[in-house]
Amino acid sequence: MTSDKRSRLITCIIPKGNGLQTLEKLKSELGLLRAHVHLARGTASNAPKALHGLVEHAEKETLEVITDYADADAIFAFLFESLHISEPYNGIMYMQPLGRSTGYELSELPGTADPV
Amino acid sequence: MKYNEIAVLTDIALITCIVQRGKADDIVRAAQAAGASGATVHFARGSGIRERLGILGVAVEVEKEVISILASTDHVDHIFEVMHKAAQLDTPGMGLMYVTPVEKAATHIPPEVLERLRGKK
Amino acid sequence: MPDTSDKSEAVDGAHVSNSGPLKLKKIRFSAFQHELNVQQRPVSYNGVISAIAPDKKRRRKRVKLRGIDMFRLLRPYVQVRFSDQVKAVLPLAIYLNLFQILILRQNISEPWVVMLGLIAIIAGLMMFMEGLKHGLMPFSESIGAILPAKSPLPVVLLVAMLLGIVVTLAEPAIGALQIAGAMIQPESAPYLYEILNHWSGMLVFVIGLGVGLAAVAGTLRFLYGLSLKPLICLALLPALFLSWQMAGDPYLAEMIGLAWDCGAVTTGPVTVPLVLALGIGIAGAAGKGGSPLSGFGIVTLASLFPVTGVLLLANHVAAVTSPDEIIAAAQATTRLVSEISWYEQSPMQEILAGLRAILPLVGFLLLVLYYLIGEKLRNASVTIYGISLCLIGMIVFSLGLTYGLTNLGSQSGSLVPATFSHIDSVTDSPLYLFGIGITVTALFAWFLGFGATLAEPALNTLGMTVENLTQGAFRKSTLIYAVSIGVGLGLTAGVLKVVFAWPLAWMLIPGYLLAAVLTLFSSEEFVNIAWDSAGVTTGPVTVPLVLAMGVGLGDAVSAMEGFGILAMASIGPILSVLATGLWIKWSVYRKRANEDIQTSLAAGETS
Repeated sequence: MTSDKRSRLITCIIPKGNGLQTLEKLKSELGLLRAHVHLARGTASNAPKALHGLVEHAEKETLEVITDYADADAIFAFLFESLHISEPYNGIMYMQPLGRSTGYELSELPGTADPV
Repeated sequence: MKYNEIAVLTDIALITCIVQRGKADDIVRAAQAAGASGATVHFARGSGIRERLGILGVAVEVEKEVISILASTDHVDHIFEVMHKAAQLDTPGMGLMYVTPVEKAATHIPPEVLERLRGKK
Repeated sequence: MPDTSDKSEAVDGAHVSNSGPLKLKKIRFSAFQHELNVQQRPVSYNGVISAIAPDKKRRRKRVKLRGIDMFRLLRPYVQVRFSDQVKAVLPLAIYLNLFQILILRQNISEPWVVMLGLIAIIAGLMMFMEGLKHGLMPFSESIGAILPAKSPLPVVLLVAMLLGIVVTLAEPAIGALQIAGAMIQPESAPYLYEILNHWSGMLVFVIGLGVGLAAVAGTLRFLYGLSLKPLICLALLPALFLSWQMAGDPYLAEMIGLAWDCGAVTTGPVTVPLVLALGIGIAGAAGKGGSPLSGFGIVTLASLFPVTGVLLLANHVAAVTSPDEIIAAAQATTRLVSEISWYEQSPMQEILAGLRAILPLVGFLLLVLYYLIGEKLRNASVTIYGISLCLIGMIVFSLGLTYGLTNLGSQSGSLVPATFSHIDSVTDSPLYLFGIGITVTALFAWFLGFGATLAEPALNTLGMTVENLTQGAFRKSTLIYAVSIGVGLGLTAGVLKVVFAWPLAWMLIPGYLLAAVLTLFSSEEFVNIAWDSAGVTTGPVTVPLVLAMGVGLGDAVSAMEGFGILAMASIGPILSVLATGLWIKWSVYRKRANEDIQTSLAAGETS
């Protein structure tokens, strides 16, 4: 394992459905803001070959989270559990080192409390 | 359900290939024939080469497809080359590809496969 | 290339040496293969960047292209766009040609005109679709995205309502239905005659209102994240109930076909992309739905709400006048043969129709942009380029339709009944035995529906949007084929209805009930796609062809009216797409069940 202190990028490719919810959870339970979700399609080998066209199950969400070096493994484990990655057909997740990364703060809107 | 340990996979690299929209399927097929297991594709929009091709720039599709393939470090170079050929990346405007290191990955591993792998260590 | 000293050491190690036992050096096989197979030459990117850096005047150097590079760039650009449209239009054209020559044994009149017309259709479609992609759709999507931010909810709903009405006025395919209405005799179908001839303004208004309300309901749906399924049931209930009630009365029953056909023809090739893009913009910016397809649904409702409106209007007309009054009034007035003014003749008619279809909508959206949102048009040049391309494409497409496909279709469509009954213009008709003739007619209708739907630009746009939103998981081409098969089946059913004079209500109500049941079992995404694609079919390509055929058939079998075929053609795709969705779900489930069985078997073996 590397011993550098660089930030880490955790990417999870999961079946469509839970992305936004997980984003909310990351914010409310772990206070993580540097995360985003986008849609993708998966062409895994478990897709029935004949159904090249309308393959609804091939829709995926890609969740990417930037973490500090110290928290990386803990957040990796958290995502592993909450996304049930260990169960079949629930996707894959991986962690990469980042050269540089910036912080991200949400500014307080005047007159509103911190939204949950 | 709490896990005491997570089996993580090592010696992996991530190949990312950005091509014009509509071409991803052929490249993914070539990569899978060369040994890649899965691929993830999404759409994106790109710029850069159009301005430098003059009038022919209109023929370069602004819409892109981004292909992400996880490959073992043993095979990443071979898959990289197969994809390079399939995507005709030496022609300007056809796209680009890069490989990034992956520290660890996790996915569903069938229990008996896990046992066998553990047994080997 | 690395030196091979490692390998030779291994080789040397195999020799018996004087100093003790064999030493074997291990080399990983993959490293060996790697060195043999991999042909890579590292070049530093820093060097590349400095070589193409802009010169002092900030101009970038042009890339030198080899001949093969230019070919590789241009070929897919032109070929894809051209072949897309050719694949869409040619099957239908060839089919109609062959049918007329082989089955009907008639020659095609004016073949060169038809040929030019077909080329115009392909060119027009190419331009129209390209213009949509660059101009009209991004424009309306961006308006939809900003509108909820800048205006309160009632204003957004008002805009939706007005849009629905403007849309219907801009593209009144009602005109096509009125042509069909011209053949109706007041004695045999008095109420129908009355509505189409004396209440046509009211009819268009009621339809426009229906579409406007549908736009409002659809917008509310995305803003509150409601599922489409209950809305569909809510829209279907009054329509089906009224149809069932009216089916009992022979005079009222004749208007059921008209009502459902009116619903089917709303939302044409310009409306659909605009409404879709607007919906996607609003849904993306302000909606609560998590699905990428939550911007759909307006097209569905715009096809269902007007049906109820027209049925209510029909009941009103029946209450206000009686059949005797209508027949008496019709006989009293002599119908003046009016001079057709220059602007109602083609080609001017197509040009005006094209302008009328696009300009009011664009103008309306521009008004919304300037006054409600208060911004200038961004990317003005690209948007204007796209919109003009749409306009030119639409006009060329309409011209091509009139001279090419509709021409061809009327020739074969009006002669189709010759297969099973006597027609003056065709010598020795009926050409075949009654049973065979009917079968041929049914098959003709199926292929006509299939081929015409392949060419529909609005369906093409819907497919493209679905493909975009799902990142390619749903392919455009497969959606188009599934819908086309459904329309073919529906059209066949409709044709049989006219030939055998089956009551329309008996075919519509069970059809829609079946669709509702399939809807309950399908996923939200498939429901969105299926119902919207049904609303989108029956457009400028299909409607004239079907009407030509319907009029001919109605004449031949002395049917009272030829309505209802389009309505049946709208049920077909709903059923076919939902069925496809359920089949896929089942296939995936079965495949995974198989895999699970295999893994547990393997586990059983190893343990």
